[in-house]
Amino acid sequence: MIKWLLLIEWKKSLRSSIWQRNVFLNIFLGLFMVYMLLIFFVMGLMLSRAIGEGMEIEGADVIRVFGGGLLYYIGFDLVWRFFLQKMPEMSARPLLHMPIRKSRMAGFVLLRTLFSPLNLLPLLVVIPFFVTTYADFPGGAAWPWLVAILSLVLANNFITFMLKRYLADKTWVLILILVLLVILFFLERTGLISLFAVSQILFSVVLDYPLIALAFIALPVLFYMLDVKMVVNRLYLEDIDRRKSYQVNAGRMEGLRRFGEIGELLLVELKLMMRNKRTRTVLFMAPLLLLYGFFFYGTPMYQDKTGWLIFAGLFVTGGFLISYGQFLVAWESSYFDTILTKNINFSQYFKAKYLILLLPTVAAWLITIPYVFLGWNILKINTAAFLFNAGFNIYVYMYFAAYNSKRIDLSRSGMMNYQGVGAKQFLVALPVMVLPILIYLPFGFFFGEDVGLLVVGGIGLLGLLLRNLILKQIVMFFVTRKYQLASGFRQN
Amino acid sequence: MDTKFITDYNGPVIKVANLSKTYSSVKVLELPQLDIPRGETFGLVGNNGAGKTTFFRLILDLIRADSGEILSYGNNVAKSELWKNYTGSYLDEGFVIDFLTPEEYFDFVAALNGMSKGDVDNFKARFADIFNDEILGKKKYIRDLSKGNQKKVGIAAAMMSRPAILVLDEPFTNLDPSSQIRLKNMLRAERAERDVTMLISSHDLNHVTEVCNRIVVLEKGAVVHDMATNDSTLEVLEQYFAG
Repeated sequence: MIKWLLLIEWKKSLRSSIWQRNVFLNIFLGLFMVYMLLIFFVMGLMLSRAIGEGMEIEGADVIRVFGGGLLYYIGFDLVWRFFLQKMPEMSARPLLHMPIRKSRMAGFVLLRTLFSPLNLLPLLVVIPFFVTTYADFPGGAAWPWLVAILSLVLANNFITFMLKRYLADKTWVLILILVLLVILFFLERTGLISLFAVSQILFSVVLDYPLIALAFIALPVLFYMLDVKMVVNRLYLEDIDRRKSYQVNAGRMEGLRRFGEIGELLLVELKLMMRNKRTRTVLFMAPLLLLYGFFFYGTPMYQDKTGWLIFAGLFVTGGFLISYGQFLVAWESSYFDTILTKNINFSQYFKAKYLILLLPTVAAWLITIPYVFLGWNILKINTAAFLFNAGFNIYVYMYFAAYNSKRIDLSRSGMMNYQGVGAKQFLVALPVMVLPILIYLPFGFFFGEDVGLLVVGGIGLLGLLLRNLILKQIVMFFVTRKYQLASGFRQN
Repeated sequence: MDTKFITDYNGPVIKVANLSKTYSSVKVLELPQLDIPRGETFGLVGNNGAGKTTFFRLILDLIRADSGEILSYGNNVAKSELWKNYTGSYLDEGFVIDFLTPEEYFDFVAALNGMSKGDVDNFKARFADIFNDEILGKKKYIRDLSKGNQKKVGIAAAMMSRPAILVLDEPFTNLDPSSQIRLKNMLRAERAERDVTMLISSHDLNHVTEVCNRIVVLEKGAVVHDMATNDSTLEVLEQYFAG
């Protein structure tokens, strides 16, 4: 039975059009993964020596210190699993009417989650560490200790499944997690409770009383059972088939209709963003890039590296532009024929698209003005980057949007979703991210930072002023491309 | 928009010349000449792959012809976008925006065509029978409606602005029997009431002969029959498709 299910899944992944079309991307992702695995492995090998020499301790103390870091690791593991781990999509629909027990289907799905490379990562750190310190463990505690850690990793795997499958759409869960993280961070910062100490105690207990490890084993078992129950309860057509509907009251937005055709188009686009899973992920993720500034602007290391800071500025003010703009037209692939046959004026259509990209970019700039507290030059850099985004990059994305003829399924989540992504997307990133820095560098080098920033910002300003002219060119290009777009979008 | 050129126009509403379309070296459509006069209800029949949808897509400038041209009220559809002002169309689900509610979608189409609130109310009243209380006021997105009801939304949106040309691809498929009959009556009423040229494809020979006054049969992209509808049309068609 399991053999057959595996065979079906294997064929499905082999024959999926995404795989066939995106060999390049898959190779790229594969190499990246191998690279990460290697880094982790080397880290695992070096860790015991690094801790021992760094803290001038040896023997079992090294293991105890390592234990102090483990809860952090388990925590981060959970976070990046949430963003990165792909949950197996079992096409349950054609199997429902066949003689397969539901719990077996659920078990099969959960079994497949184990094959994620993200389950390999922690092993690559823990096992080399375990091997290199094996001799230092207190008598009989080594294996129980390992079992305890692996149990937590396994539990993470099943918790992620639960979070991603069934709880991710519930906003309160995300808020709860966020609040929890903030509280932990606060406790740690103020020194009230140190997670490090807690973690150290927790794993030391296992070292001192190895039998406690049995309690750890209970965790993955518990979550596994919860997962099975969740899956079984939802193996109904109405749960599988129903694309999630987001009831969004458009009441206040309807005011846009006063602005004629452009208003109508904007209204449809706003509804598009808010009522579809994939675009909602973009809306949710884009504001996170606003925080990107803390990493770069706030780090002393980058303070005098204006080139890097421009790069950061482009991300900070262009989060929405980058993530939404690359599929500007493709978002509408499922109803593109409507756009082409209804009485829509293409120049109005692109003006609406322009506003959709411009307004959030302006908003991002306004919101990030407070970064000025990190330094006056930060505001200058951020503003120059904003102008370049608004007056140059925006057109690059609009232009490329007319190139992107891959259909997008709006009902799939956008996290780690590479549908519709091709080599072209990487090509766009080049002028958009690198060009402003290349422009800045010579001017900054010869005439000083201010002149360099003025040139970068000036180009953006010029683009803003010439918008009508440029938009006209983009529309003309779009008209020549519309047949390719329409036929590309029609292919599933 | 200025409808004067439509009123003043004399000549075939749709004029096809030397039209051909090839997909990977298979000729899917070849129409050396085809005129559709004003006020005609033009029925297109043919088995799958005969080229019906391809023809309609060419009329709506959704795909590029390999050769030839289609004139709509005298203007080449691939060169001028004038046709969008007076052409209503529904070919498939790609013609509706499925994350809108039916009301929102109708309002959108109405705004694009410059219809007033009164026009929209009027339209809703006209379609009340066909909608059968399953479309309006349900607070559901179009994607959450049944296939048949989604189709009704698309067809209604195509007809709502009372366009001078109406293009419908298999409008009866997926509709329940009552809706099929109501739609049929509605199309016939349209024809009787006002100046409209309709292009309708169908697999249902009964419906298409009842609604249309001219039937064209396509086979492998070429016209094999072109006849005015009369008492024996259905018989001729049945014979053709049986053989």
